[in-house]
Amino acid sequence: MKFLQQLLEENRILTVLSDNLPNEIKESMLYEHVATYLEEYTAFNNIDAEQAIGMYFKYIRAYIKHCNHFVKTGQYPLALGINDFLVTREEYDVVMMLLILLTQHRYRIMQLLVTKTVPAEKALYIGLGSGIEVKLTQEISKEIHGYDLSINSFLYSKFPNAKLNIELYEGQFTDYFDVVYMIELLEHVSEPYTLLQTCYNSLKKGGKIYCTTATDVPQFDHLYNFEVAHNDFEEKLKAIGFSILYKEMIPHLYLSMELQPCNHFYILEKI
Amino acid sequence: MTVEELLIELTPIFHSELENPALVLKPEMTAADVETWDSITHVQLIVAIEKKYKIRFTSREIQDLKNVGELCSMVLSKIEN
Repeated sequence: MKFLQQLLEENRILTVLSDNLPNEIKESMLYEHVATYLEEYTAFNNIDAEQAIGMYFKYIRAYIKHCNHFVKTGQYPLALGINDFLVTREEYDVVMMLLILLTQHRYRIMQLLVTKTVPAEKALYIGLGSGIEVKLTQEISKEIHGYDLSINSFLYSKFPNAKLNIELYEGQFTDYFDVVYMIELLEHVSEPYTLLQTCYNSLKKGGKIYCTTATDVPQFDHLYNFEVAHNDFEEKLKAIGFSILYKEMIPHLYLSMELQPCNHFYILEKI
Repeated sequence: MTVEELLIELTPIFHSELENPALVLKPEMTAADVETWDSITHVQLIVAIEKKYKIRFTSREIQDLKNVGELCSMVLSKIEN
């Protein structure tokens, strides 16, 4: 937790954001695990507190700008052809981990992941990111496979027994996995239902997918794949052959703007 | 310092933090009236005001602020103390 404490001491805005979180979050084991993982990740990559703070505010400034565009146009930056935000793997990972520690919605996603996930023999992670989801669930899976278009070296040292692949997951396995994790991924892919069908084929019967969607979250690299009402999404899931075991809407807390950003967390089962 | 005088002093901070140089501050103005005034810029605004006047707001105060007038009252009360 030292690194997080350093960040909070050095930046008043981060302190205020952290102060706004309920104590039950900040005193939880999950919060401590994420803070520790962030510390290990930044130490491995020689990222100091000042750099991490810079990464966070670079992202936030761009996000606010893109929110304003979205309020005016109803379009995400990618749809508007706005490509003004360049970010490295490390910057993106650090910001996403910090957001777990500073926002209730991202903390809630991780909380659901940890509390709802069940022991599985073979697990597939699509969109590894910082590896935080692997970290939080690895102890209940015996065989871990992970895919992403770029992977920080830290993940190879942290999860030496996992099979990590720098490539798209395109159905390399059939009837193989007990569980697939796609956390904050489906809003990044142009054909989410093709990917869901691919994952369906990769699961054993009774296997589960833990996934999220994002709506009205105009992040620089998001696609507007999901309307606020998820009827269409759920109908398509059922058409693929999934049953929905659990779903929860997770609103993002904003003071104003005509935005009602939210995530949906789903647990799906191959029937 | 009066509320009117404080509004004049706060105006450049609002212009800068909310990236809206045309904004005219009024006591009844709320975040909902200003497109760029969201939860993040709200915190940035408060922190900039804290820095200028060397004061501190609690998290509860920051969350509960309803409009510019309340913000002014709170700043004035903290400056006086």
